[in-house]
Amino acid sequence: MKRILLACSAGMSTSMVVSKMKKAAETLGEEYYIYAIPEGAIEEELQAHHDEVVVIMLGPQVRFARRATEKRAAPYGIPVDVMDVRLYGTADGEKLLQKALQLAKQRQ
Amino acid sequence: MGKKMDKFTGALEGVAYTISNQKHIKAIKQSFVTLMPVIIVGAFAVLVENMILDPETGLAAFRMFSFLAELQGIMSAINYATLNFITIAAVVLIGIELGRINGLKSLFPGLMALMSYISVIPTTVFLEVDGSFQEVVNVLAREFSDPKSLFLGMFIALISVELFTWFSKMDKLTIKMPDSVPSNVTTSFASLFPSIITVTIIASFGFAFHRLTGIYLHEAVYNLIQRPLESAIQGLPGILLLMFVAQFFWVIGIHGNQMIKPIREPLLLGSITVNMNAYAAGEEIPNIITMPFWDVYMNIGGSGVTIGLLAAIFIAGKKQEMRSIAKLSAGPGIFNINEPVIFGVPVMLNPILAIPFIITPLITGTIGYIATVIGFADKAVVMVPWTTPPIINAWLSTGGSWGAVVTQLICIGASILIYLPFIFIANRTRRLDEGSNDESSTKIV
Repeated sequence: MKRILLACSAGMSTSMVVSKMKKAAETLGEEYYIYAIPEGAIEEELQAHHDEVVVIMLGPQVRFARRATEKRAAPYGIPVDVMDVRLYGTADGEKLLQKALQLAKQRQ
Repeated sequence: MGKKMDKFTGALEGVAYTISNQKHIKAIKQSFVTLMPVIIVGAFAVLVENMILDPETGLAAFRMFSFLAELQGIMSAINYATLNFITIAAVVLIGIELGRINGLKSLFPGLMALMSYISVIPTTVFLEVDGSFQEVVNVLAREFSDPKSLFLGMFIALISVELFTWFSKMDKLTIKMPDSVPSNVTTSFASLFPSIITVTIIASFGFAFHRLTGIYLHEAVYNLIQRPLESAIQGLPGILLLMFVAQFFWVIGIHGNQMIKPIREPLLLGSITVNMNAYAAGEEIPNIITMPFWDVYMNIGGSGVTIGLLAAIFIAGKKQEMRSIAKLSAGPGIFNINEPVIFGVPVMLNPILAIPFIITPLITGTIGYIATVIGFADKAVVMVPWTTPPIINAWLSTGGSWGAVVTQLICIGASILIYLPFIFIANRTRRLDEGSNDESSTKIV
């Protein structure tokens, strides 16, 4: 299944965003595996599932990891973005999912 | 003003990038994440031993349960295997992590680090038996496996794996095999010379250091680096400074704890491990500032003691949006997760709420410190995960000190009082709740 990978510091604070995005995906009838992991675990995750991950979205609190993540994801052509502060803070699952799907289209 | 703010934020982000990508810092940080279960298992053993099996303080004090005291050996064995062996585990993990970062594709760097570490510590101890000192050879003294040698272990792990990587990447030092030899065989030979050279350098250095200076390397590292750092953090100003730095990063929306972790984790996890060992042994508890101290008094509801902010919003918040985000944040807040508060309310780049957000943990930390010093609250003796809800974490981590629970409640009360006036101001500020998107946030200032 296609994966939307979210990452923050411990993978915990983003779990609320994950559940809201899952709900949004359900109502849209989109089938994605949406989940959150710690930012430090992105590399391993990509090694295991790079063929399924369609987009990586970072929590705004770990936006300093953007460049490093982009470097890791580039060989697989996976787009990387930092979630909008406002959408993240209010756990706006719908808009975040829209953004994720939009980015996923750029996946090479 | 906006431009200056941008520049400032940009500079801090640069610092955050550097800290989080420096490979030695990264290796240490990752290792402590992996180490956490070991510490929690040790905490479990300490809790069970003291609250259930101990014939004086535990359930075994009741006559019908007195047989439980016989089982104490099980828990002390687990305790030794975890809390007293933490440095060995850290050395191996740091070796593996740094090896991985350096692009070495095996777990061998973990062993390389361990070999090197063991090679610099003395394996002879002097025991006082009946008034005279006896030499005991071929033993690993506890001080080399418990947190007392943590910094020596960290340094040796980093240095040895760097040397090993360097030598491994030298073509001349790798043994070439004909193509017909299976690749597994080739790799096992490839690391041969680099590891011989690395461990020889490290062992010789330890040897020479002792011969030339008359003191052991572990004593030097402990006295010159580890102990000064420990005493800096055990004093109130040290821990407040660390918290201040973390809060400062949070205010610009960057995970502050991630920034200070490389310093905080070895010191505060080290100090709680020492406390747990003392508690299990029935000795006096040495450290006030520990990882649970941080979580119990300075991090209630998440960074910035935002449990007080949420309560203040519920009490006095007039803005509908703020109230609804506070509702949304209450659930995660119970488990000390507060990103929705920081990004949703928002606290980030919010000139009004940034003030209480920075000062509240400093004040509650001071309250906790004073309460502990005067003996009203007990020192933390059990490691508890940071996601443990308030009250429960105060009670558990102190081995059941109601003074600590009351102190934490006082801290929560103080945090509400500090945040309240700022909520009144926020009620009157029109654009506050619209801010914090990347473009608009700087315009508020």
